[in-house]
Amino acid sequence: MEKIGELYPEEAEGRTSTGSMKERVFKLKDALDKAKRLSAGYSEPGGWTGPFDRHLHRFLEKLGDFFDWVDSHRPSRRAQFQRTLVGLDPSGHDLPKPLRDRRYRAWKRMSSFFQKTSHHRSSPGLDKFRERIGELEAFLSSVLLPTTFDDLDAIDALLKESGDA
Amino acid sequence: MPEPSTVAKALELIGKGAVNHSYFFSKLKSPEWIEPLTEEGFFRDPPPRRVNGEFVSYPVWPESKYLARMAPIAPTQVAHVIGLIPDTDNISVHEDIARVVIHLGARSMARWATKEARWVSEQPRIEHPLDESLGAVVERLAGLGETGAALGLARSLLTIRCVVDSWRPVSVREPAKTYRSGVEGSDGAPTDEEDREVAEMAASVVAQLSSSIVGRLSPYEYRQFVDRHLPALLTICGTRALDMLCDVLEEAIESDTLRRSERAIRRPAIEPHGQNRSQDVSDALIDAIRDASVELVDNGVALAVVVDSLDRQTSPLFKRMVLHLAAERHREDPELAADLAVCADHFRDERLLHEYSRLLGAVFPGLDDVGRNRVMKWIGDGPPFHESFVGDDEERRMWTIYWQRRRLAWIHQDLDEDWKARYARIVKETGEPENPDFTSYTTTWIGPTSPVNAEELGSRSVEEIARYVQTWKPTGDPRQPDKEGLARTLEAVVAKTPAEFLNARGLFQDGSVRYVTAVLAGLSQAVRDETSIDWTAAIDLMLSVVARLGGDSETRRARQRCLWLLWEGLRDDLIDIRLRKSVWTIVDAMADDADPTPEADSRHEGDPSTRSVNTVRGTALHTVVAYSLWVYQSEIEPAEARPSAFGMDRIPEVRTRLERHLDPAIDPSPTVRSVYGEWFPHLAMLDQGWARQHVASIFPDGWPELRDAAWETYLRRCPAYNLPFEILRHHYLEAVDRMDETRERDAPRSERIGGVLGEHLVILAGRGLVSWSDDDGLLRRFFENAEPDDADRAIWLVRRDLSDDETHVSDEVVRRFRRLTEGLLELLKEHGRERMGHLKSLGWWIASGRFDPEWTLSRLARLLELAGGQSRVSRCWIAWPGCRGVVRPRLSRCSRHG
Repeated sequence: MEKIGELYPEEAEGRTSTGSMKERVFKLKDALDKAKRLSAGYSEPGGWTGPFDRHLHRFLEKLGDFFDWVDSHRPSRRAQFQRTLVGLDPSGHDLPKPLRDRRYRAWKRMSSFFQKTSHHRSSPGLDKFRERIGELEAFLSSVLLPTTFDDLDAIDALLKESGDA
Repeated sequence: MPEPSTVAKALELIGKGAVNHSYFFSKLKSPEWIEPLTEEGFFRDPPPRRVNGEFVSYPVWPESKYLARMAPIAPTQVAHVIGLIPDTDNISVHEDIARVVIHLGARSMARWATKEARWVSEQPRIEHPLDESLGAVVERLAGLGETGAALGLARSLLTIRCVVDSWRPVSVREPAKTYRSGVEGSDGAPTDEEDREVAEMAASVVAQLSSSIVGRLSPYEYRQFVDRHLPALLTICGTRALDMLCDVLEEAIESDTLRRSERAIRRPAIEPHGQNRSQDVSDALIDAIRDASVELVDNGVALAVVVDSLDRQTSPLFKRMVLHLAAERHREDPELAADLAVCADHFRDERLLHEYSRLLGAVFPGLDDVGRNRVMKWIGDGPPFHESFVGDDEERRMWTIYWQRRRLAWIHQDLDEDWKARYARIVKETGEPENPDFTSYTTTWIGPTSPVNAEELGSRSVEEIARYVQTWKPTGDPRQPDKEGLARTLEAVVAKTPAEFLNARGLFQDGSVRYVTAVLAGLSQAVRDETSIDWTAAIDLMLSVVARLGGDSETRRARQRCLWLLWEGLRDDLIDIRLRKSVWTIVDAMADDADPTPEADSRHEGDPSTRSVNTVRGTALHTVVAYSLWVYQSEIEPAEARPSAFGMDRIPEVRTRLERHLDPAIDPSPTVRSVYGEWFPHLAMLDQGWARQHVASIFPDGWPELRDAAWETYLRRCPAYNLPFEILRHHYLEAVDRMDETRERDAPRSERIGGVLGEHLVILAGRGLVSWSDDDGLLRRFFENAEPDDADRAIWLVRRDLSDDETHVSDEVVRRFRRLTEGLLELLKEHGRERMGHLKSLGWWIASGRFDPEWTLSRLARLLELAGGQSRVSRCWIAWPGCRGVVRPRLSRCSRHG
């Protein structure tokens, strides 16, 4: 039906999707987070304590519950990706944002390449394909294999080389 | 500065994982990296605090640690980066930043401190060592002249407030319009009836509430902060620091909104005094204000100025601090001190009494005639009587005398002759006043105490002692020596010279039961001290106790003492078997005692087994078993010592007694029934046939409370013996099946009966009495039904012995545990990872070093596969001795970094 709606927008009388539901949900979540940050009626850990009537108070609580559920059950692709990587890291710690973004960009690039290739939207040569496979292997190795002294030795060498050792 | 290519390479390396990231920042020694890393977007993303249930942790942020190290080298660069860091709730990051800002300029530091003070004010708690780091910032700020920021930050840390203890009553309406009683009215407003109901509920709830004072720092940290950082603040900021502290205290007092007679801040004396029993944050603050005010005066600030600072607050506590300061430093400004002492308001205000009495005592000798006469006139006038006073003239007179006595006591050494004589007359009539400088005084004592000590009592003859204890009378004052104290002293004397007391036992037999009990207790102690006693005389004394009727607690104690003494003698085979008849007469008579009563049983105070040794009938049944074993030992030659050699036919009196108490109609007590569980292996040894015949009566299915009392006591108190297991196998099966009904999720791991049951079964599996492939599936059913902790505890116990190199474990036992392990792995495979919690210790068991390496390696691998990489299971690899070759170093190399 979605496809038909896209082909015959007038006949579909506005039922055509003009953006994803998920995107709208996340926009609403951003708005709620901003309100929590800025509103004098919200505090941690007290929650919504402003001069609302009972109905509005309940609604705000339920809205919060809904987004908690979204966070845990319908995370964005990016959040899902980050969570998986943190779960795979034996230290259980997250990396700082620049490094997280870097890894996500690399993943997206690979993901996009393999999707396009598998759906025949692009036809890379064998060398290019091998190169990407190599990248994927390296990426997976970096997150799945435990950290060894080799990496730490490489960091030491790098710092020595830059005169900071 | 590092080249862009170096930075890119670094990013690639540290992007591999948190360990690399942390390692990289910990190794940086140069501030040159700050700029390129800032450009790459670092230093803007501190990790938030982590909340896991009731636990909170604060992850380390490698970037802030790096900045803290670089701050002394490149303060300007670091100051710029600090400005980029967003607000965070991570205390660890705040601590690093505090270490950074201490190296910045005064203005930058003050700006940060002002912001930090706002953040601190929003926190319920400030964890150590952040308080220390912020304290250093406070001192540094003050040193640089930024006193406002310094005082603001200190104040945010030192703020304390009153909280209502215990629970908050949810049924008490807060905003009236949101109240609902269940069915909503048209406008939601409460009805009159609901209002009344709520008001009554609120009144009853408030009557039960109390309040206490809490701070952001713990009392210990609070005191440390004040002791370490306040002196510098006081030196630099002077009375402004004192004003800040006074404001904090005044606000805390104001926050005590319950306004009950028992205030949260209770301070009997401003000076250090034994009556100041509380050591909470408010005490630390009051001490700080008190010491700061004295120190300011000592540093040259006028007494009047400091008094003015304190007096600006409205709470009477500050007035008391004024009087305290004036008493301590009255020589600095005698005129002001005299004015404060010769002040009718101060004299009359009972709330100020303690500090006022000290001030008056200090300045009275130096008062001029006008001042002295005024004070003496107030005392002479007597107390003001409220119109509600209902006493007659005599009561009014006595009240006045007591009131005057207290006040004259403060200054009695400096009174003129007339008043001295008057005070002497009052003291003669009413006695010396006790603690006249307190309106109320708390005192404690330890009791019971004896009128004589053991040495003094022991120096007398037994006849003298008997006469003394029978005639001595206590005063009735609970703080004074009493009979119980004397009885304990007598017990100690008897324990040292039991023979003398047994020879003269007739002197005690007919006297107070309390002292007979003391003699019996002393004899027990003597037996424990391995002093031999004349058992014929002791039994004669016990028979006299048996003859005493009465169900009062004194007599019961005496009876119980008899049984304990008898127990000692029977257990250690100290009593001549020829006294068998007399011994049985005592035991048999006690076994019909009313204690424990059904009411006492229904209170469930402690487990039945513990209760049994604190009741007469329960102890008597224990002694029945001890008696049986005593007869067994005396009648059976070691050569014929085997279960079939003895039987209840040899002790028919015991058979009758035991069977009598197995009838719930005669003895429905779970306390008594637990005794059968505790001694079941011994009863089976004495007469296997009798045990088999009565096993259903001992653990009766129709009486769950009696069954559980006996069964749980059996499991908890007895090791897993072979013969009892053979008799009880069916009961073990039933207990495994009952595990679903008797979940004990809230019970501590060590107290859960399921865990003990598992221990029995695993030990029995080692002995070959149960196995995974048994037809009744006992072992398998246990691991299928058990709570995770219970199953794990069973494995943990055996793993401990398997891992202990000192314990000898035969090859056959190892083979049995191998088969059990195979069964457990099979169970994991069937039930999946959710059963893994049951078998957390299985890896350790496999890695105990008892099994051959090839088998160990393959089973550990299978376990890891089934566990899906659960860390607790993975760690067991490190414990395996086989890992010491190749695997272990590699694993430990990885594990160093998580």
